[in-house]
Amino acid sequence: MTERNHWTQLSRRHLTRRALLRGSARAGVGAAGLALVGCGGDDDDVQQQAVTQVQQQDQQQQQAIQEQQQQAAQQQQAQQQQAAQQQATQQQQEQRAQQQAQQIEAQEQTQQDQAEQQAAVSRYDKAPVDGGTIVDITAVIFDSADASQSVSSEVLRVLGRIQSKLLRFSNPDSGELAADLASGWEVPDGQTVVLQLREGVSWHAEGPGADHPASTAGRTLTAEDLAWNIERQKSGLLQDGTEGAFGRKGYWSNVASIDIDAGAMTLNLTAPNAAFLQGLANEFNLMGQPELLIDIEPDAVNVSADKVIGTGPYILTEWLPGESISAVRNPDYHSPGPRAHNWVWNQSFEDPTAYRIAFEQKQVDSMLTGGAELLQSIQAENPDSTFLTYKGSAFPIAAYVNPIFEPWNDPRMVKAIDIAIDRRALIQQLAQGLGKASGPVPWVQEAWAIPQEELAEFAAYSLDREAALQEANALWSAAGGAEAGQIDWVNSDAYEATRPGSTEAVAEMFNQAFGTDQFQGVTQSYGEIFPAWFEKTFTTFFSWIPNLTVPDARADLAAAFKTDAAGNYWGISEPDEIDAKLDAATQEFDFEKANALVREVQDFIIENGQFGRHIIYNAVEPTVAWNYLHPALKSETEGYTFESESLQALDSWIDPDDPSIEGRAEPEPRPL
Amino acid sequence: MQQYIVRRAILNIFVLWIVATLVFFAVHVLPGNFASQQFASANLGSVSPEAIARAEAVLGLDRPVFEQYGTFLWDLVRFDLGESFRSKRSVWNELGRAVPYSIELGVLIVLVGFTIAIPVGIISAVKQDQLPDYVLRGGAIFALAAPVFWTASIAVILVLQWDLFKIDVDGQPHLWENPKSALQWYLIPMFAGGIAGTATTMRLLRSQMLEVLRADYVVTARAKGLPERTIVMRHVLRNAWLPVLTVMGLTVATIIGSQIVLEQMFNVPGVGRLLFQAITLRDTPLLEGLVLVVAFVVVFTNLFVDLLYGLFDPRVRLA
Amino acid sequence: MTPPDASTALPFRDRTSPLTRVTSAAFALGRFLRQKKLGGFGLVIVLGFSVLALFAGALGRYDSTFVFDTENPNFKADPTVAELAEDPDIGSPRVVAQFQAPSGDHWFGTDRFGRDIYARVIHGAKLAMIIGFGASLIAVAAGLIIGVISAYYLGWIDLILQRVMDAIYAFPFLILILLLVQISEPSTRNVVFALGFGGIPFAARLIRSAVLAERGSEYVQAARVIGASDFRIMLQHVLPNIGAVLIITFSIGIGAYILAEATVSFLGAGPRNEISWGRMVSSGRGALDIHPWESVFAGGAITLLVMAFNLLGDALRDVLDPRLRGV
Repeated sequence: MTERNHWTQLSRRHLTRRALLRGSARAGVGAAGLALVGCGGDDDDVQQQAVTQVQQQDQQQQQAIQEQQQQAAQQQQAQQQQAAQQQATQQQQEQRAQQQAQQIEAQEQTQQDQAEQQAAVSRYDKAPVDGGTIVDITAVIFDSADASQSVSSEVLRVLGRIQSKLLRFSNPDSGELAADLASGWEVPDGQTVVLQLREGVSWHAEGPGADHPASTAGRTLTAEDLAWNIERQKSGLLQDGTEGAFGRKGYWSNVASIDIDAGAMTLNLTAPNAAFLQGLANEFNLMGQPELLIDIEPDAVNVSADKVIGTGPYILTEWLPGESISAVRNPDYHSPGPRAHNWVWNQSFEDPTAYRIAFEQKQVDSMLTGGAELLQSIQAENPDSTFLTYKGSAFPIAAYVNPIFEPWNDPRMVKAIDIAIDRRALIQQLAQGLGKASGPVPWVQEAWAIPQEELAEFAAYSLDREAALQEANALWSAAGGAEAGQIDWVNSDAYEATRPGSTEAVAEMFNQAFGTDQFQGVTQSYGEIFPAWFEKTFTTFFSWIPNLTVPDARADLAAAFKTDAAGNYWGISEPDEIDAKLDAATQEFDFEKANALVREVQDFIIENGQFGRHIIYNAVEPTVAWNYLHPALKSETEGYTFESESLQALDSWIDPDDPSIEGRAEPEPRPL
Repeated sequence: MQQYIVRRAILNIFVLWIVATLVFFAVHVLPGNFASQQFASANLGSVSPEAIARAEAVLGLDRPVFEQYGTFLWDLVRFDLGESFRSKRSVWNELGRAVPYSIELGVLIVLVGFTIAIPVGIISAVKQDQLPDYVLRGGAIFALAAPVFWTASIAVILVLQWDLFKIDVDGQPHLWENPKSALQWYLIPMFAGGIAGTATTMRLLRSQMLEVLRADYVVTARAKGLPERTIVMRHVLRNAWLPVLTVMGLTVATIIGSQIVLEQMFNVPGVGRLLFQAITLRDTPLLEGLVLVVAFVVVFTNLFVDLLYGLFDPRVRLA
Repeated sequence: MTPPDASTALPFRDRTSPLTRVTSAAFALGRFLRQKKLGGFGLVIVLGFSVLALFAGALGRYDSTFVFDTENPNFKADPTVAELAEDPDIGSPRVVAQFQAPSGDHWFGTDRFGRDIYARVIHGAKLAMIIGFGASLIAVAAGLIIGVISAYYLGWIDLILQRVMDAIYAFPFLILILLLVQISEPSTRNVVFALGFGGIPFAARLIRSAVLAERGSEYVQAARVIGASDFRIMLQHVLPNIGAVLIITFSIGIGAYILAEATVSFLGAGPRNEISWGRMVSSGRGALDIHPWESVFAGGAITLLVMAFNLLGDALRDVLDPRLRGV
């Protein structure tokens, strides 16, 4: 009861909550670039120093604080594998968050506010209760039952609860790592990663996957299983010798060879790679059982529960797309910990009316689509029984032009388009203001992105739209844009469905920017978009682009801009300005130096109108949930930006004592 | 008579073949297929051509179109509608799950429709060009004009706003399992659909009755001094009934496939929603199967209604 | 869109000369406004919407695509997620005037994109009119060709044509439209054609019955005796005599086509680059209680126009051919 009252009060005290959040957010700020840490080291000195410094700095020196924080956070993660210390570290982190918040907004703080903060922490610290069934939401179609061959985050929502990875994030947004199948890790030199494997991990002993004739139920997980998963993705080949759809082939190609000896696995990399370790915790890098994966290879695209066996905390009991998906607890999971017993995925709410009815009547536990205003108003109508969370979106919104074709083969046209995109208006129109402009590195990759103020110095991101439009029009007329004839601007029908009218609005934005009526919005299905994409025959595009999976930006930049990168659809070739610098940045273990290189590359990209790959913004996505639901969260009001399926699997629970649970009918998963 | 039925049945099969061919080629010239829709949630740039090609091969979409058409027809002759790409269950199985929901909602809509339409139609005809006629007819014309998705949206907001009752869009209860819960769930769609459907029936009944009211035998009946009530009930309604019967038959038949919007909005897993999902996901076998089954129901209901017509009205001879 | 089987219910009509029939039709139209008050009301609304559609630019007050915005006094260059949660507009120097309630500046308020809803409703009338008239015209034109050929030649031509009509009719109507629209790109033209196509069986059936009635008439037989060609008979004798049926078929379908387009747009498959009332209802419905204006006004416009066309169609039918009332 107390915390509900607390939140009611808090929502009326904007400044207080803001102060609190800013503090906690900063404490967890991106440790992305510094993923080189010894195993199990005890670095209390560094941590203390960081804290002391934080207290001494003033606001002008926040940048410096952040870096110290990153280092401190980095040191912490080394300790986190030791379960005993983990709790203590977390508390320290929270304390620091509070201290900072108090300091930064000291003038605004009152005694009462501090009391409220204590109450807030108590909700966060509430001990999880074992049991219950959480109702999550997912789409109606999936691309593969084999996580290695999937590129859909919808698949992750299911398999992330069932299977495990070598490492996982204890906070995906900052990139702090924690043990998973590997109980410890060490990077003795930049080119070698040594992983100690957890003992006594076994594949699920029950369930449809365990009953599959090809799987081995209850077998102990071996280092060979893991090595097979890696080698398979690296080769990119299926058993029949054909090319598979391995989305992380590029990542695993960094591994030159694997050594296995007594409970440890050593990955020898092809070159020093400072971004590699974090990738082990990428939620897509789930490990499957070789004998079953080999057997289901021919039709892995037809998903079903018997095609899935894992080592994770839940066992998949049903996977009927469009109908029902459910999972029950794995009794043999290595860390029993109190958590929800079952998961049920509801897949039927493509329609906003049905979704809203379902949430308001507690048939699903959280609601994340329908627009910020709606979600906020639902919360406002139920102030004592629901709460809101906000998270950065890992999906950048972008507009593409293809510089291979007329009229985009003129760099002035490409740059004119980049500047003409009214990023802040689009944020308001498409995300109701909840979002921030993104550069080549989206703002959610906080440690690497260009800060907003500096971004605003570029015409494309300028706050002075009139001046920017003048520049865009000068480029447009110099390149003869008016003679380009009709320009079809393609939007995916999937995006148009979620934001009705966006196709028209984007075309109209360009028309008004250039004082013309040449731009026409066109909606296409992915059936039309994909072929044009693969053959690089697309000319324009507006929609989501691939989601970011790790907070380290280097791999994403390289995948889009390097001359020979698979994702370089724009024919960009800048060996000196981009390729060499990105290579150097990837091999650079000093965050400062790496970041400076990445910044140079970003500046160069923006100067060139982003080469036709115009990143626009990343949204801040609200979610409203009933109080009885305790999802794994970064803080009370902030969700995770990057995929956090393994955390959700371990740390989500249902509070049976919360008053809001009244009237909720517990759904029944399919039993084992 | 028997010969007539056989002839019509054969013609109906010919009609179904046209439908099958139309739907087959229509879905095959649709841009995109299930394989690429499967990856739509994965976003551009992260999907490889190999992944789509493999999915196409698994689904058999890489075979030549006419080969696929041949298989499709051959399976059809054996009443094999194939299996849904998405659920991997047979289309018959999917239908078995969806049809009860559609029938439930359809019957409720028809019930609501006729409970309103018949008295309103009668009153409106008897009081022709008087105030009740104008009011009722105006209401009917308004109901026919207002889009069901609009009225249903407004109704939902009212229910949520005032916490009127629980709409179990998740549990999807059947009427025979949990009558109260199911009725609450169907309440808005059945009234939204029923009232919109009413208008056609009501206007038809009214005009048929007006026609009969002017007929000689009604004039005679009046002249005989029969009470107006008896005239309306015994002479007029009985004779005006027939065309309405036709419409009722057709309504029941088409309602199964036409409740797309309402089923979509209220998460009713009926045939309409299945059809809509099949078309957006490019679930070809499911779409083809569903369209054919709906077409089958429509053409044979037509035949049935025509036969009934002949049975009730001796003036109509079937040949 | 569930037209009854009209073939069995078609009446015989008096066979006066074509000229008399045309003048009498005109005379009937003259009487129409006096006798049929509801129909007259419908006609006035239809004419009103026609004027709005034709002069949308002048009557809409604003450009339908113009995005209104205002200076943001609370602007902050680099807001945190939490600050954005408190005040979503904080990150923008200018605020898009979205979801505003009706006011003197914006009679119907503004939509998600900060555009004037009144202007958009007015401009939306264009699409509704094009859809209604276009689809009905296509259905009647194609129905005329098919109906005349079918009824004139009878025999196996009639048999096959009627079975094709049955096949189209047996398709669930909305699915047929969605299929046709998605095969080609969803432009206005394609949606008009798809709707028109879906309406052919209905129109063809009515027209076929009418032609059948004319076919047996004395003057057609007389024309045949004097050796007139089939084409000449159809054009000179049959066509003028089914004028009333054509007008009725044309006018009573319009409302249904407009409604169908709104439904298709509501489901997200309607014409792009055009302001569609159905899409406007759809884009505002999830949060109807918070910002109802777009849905309410667009839904109201659909209802009003469809109602007007239905009233007009009913009245025209009553006046031109009272015995077709059952259709």
